Amino acid sequence: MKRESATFAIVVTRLRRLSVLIGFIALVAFLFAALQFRAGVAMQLIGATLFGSASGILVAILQRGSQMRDLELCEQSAPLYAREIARAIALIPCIAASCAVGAYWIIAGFSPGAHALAVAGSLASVNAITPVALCATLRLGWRRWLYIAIAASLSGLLTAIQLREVPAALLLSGITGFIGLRQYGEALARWDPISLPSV
Amino acid sequence: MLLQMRAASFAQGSRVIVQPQTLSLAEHERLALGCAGDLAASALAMMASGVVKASTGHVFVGAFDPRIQPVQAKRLATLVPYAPLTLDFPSFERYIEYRAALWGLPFDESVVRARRIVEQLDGVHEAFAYPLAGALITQPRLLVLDRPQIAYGARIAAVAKHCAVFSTHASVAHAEEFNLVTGAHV
Repeated sequence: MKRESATFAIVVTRLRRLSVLIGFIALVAFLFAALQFRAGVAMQLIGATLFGSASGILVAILQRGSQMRDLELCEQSAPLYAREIARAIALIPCIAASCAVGAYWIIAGFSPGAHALAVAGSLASVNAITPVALCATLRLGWRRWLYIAIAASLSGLLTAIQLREVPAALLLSGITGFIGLRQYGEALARWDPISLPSV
Repeated sequence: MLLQMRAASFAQGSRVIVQPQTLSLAEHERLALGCAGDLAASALAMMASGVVKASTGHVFVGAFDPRIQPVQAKRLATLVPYAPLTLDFPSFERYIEYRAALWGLPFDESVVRARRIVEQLDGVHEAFAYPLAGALITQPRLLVLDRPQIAYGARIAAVAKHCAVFSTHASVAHAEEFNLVTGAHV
């Protein structure tokens, strides 16, 4: 008897709906990397992290859009704990942001001076920022903008730290991602899907 | 009792969306409830299925309070939302596979069961038939319908004969109409 895990089903279904957007983001990342090909590793690190973060934030916000409304009601009415749903939903912007950064480094990686640690640092940073951006989707009004601003600020902060100390940036990314995911799970458990304006 | 509400209301900030409701529903009973509008009907259906927690009062699904044991409550009650399915799924089987995965059900068995339900829903548009089939494959003891289509009432009553049915409507008139075709209490 074939059984699928709920996490896998949520991720695959949501990713399928966003596949065109994720493909477009990867394409833009290729072009962006080509533009920055001779910019030097520091500029490439800044470019990859900021572009990946922006992509992650965008896809995170789209998780609560009208395009996902039917899936969201289905997931919320299923006998799943909020932490399970939170983990699954958090994977989608993380995958999108990783695709953006991966696509960027596929091109930029051939440039002279490219460093594996820069790839790891930018990947860790964007994956830490997206759960923070997801917290914005459960808030309305100024609180939503506050979380987006926090995510954007963290992106800048992690980029700045990476330029000096990549291991420190990796550690901070881990802590940020863990706290962001925990907070998103807790907020999702308290959240009422009725609060959507589209209802 | 399968569903009990004791002065259960739902509010967002200072705005009361669902006025205090007191009702009870036993196994295999049907209840169609008219509400003060679309938002109230939607919120009440979500409260009855454990998706939304009551702001005041108490809701019990079976013996479970959704505020404390939401997962256990959701195993008994399944919500059929108002909005039709967007049909973004590549196939009916893929949709059922998705639903089965969320409820931890075996895929093959769920597809067979869902096909049988859809056959019984002859004349019901796919966008409405698929969510209903998706809800019924979980074999819920309580089926909660958020503003169901009155035209499909008789078909819904026929396929949901093994469980209790609680439906919310945007007005008492709509609830009475639904009652006429399904034989529910208003």
